[in-house]
Amino acid sequence: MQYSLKVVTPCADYDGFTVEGDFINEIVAEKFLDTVKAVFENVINLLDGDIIISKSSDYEIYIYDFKHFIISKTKTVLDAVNLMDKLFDYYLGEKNEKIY
Amino acid sequence: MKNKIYFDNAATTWPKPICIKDSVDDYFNNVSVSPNRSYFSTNLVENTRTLACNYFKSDNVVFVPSATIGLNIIINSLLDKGDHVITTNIEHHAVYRTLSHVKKVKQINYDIANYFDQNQLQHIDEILNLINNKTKMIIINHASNVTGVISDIKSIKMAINRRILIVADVSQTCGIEDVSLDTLGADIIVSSTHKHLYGLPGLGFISYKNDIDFKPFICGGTGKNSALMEQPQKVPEVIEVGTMNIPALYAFQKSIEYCSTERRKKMRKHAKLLIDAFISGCSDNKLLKIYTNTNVKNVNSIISFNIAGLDPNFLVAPYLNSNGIIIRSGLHCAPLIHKTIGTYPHGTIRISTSYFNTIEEINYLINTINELRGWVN
Repeated sequence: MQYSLKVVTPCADYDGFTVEGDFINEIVAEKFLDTVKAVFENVINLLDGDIIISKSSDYEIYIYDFKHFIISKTKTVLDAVNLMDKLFDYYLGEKNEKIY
Repeated sequence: MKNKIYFDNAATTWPKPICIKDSVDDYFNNVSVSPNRSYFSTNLVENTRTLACNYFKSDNVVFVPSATIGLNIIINSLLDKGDHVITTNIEHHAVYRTLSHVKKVKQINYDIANYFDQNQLQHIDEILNLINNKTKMIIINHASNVTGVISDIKSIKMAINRRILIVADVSQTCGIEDVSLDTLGADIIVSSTHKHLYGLPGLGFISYKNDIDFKPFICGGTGKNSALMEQPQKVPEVIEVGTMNIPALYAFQKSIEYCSTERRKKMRKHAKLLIDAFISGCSDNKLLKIYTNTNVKNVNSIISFNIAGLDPNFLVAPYLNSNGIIIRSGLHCAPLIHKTIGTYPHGTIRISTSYFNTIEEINYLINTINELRGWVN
């Protein structure tokens, strides 16, 4: 397992579900950033990867310092899990098509 | 700049004055008894009560575990089926959720007045127009924990021409403003001791006028009258049950001494200095919207703001935190004021200062916030 994840309830009224988690193994920053850009649309990189954001109508992902992440506004928790699984499948080289 | 800059004093104040820390040490080294329960018990609770009565210029002070529990006791103990309550759009969930629950179990009714508008101007008519012949209580926050605006409770009291209990939640103003019953125009005040009184969490109090009879709500042992199989009906035993937070009571004696009239004046001046510095320091940041109106009476230690285009919970708060600045983001357990000022559903970033925050910390905060302008570009 590449990450841990739990459902959280922010002190705000967001649609859908919000989860947060941590990456278990150390991430190669440049490769991971390339992965995120390859897998997701609308990627914003702030402060050289300190915060990476990707948004669509189905989710918002925030990745902090290549260590911690929040996924918000998914319809189900499983949708958030699937996003992270597919991201890591691509990162680890197990998939190579653009998914989102 | 130190490792942590703490701007969440509306949640609880930090740091505490040395006298509070010393009182905790003294308690654990020398005091550590449960009043009324041992042969060597002290008059600690009654001494604290006397000091509190003098401080709040009240005949009655009872101790509760928190302001939230205090509000629960007031609402459950003083209201019966069919009673009507009016509250406002600047309250905390300690009021809203309790009223919602008691409505279901006891069939009380309540209305929420749009007392404050989006510019935090007060409209007394919004409350007066909701009064009916069953209205027994008005519950109002003395200061919003989101914007810091202070309610003019005395004007409400003077505008009402019959007996309606006015309950003021003074959690955000106790220790920095004069919250005595007559000054405020309230019949009951309730607060915690761990915000601007600089006491410990786990203690609050209710102060009230003589002609109010509380019925039992939470029942249990009181250390006296143990042969009695029903809850005593008289204060303080009708409210003070179980083992109380004795270290916090002991520290509260020091809080009262610390938050003297003279020091409260200095605290208010200090709060104004810091908020003015923040507002002027951010004045050229066109992306920053401040929701605290300092042109109306304000506790001045609370500032809510947002940065256009940046989610307060997922972007601004983590960034400030990563730079050592502790704040709170979101709806702050007070959803309706956010609907009024237009910050629902995401809420705001809230900075809340204490007597121990400095201008240097405010300047560091301003510089850190201004760095976020580059993100929006």
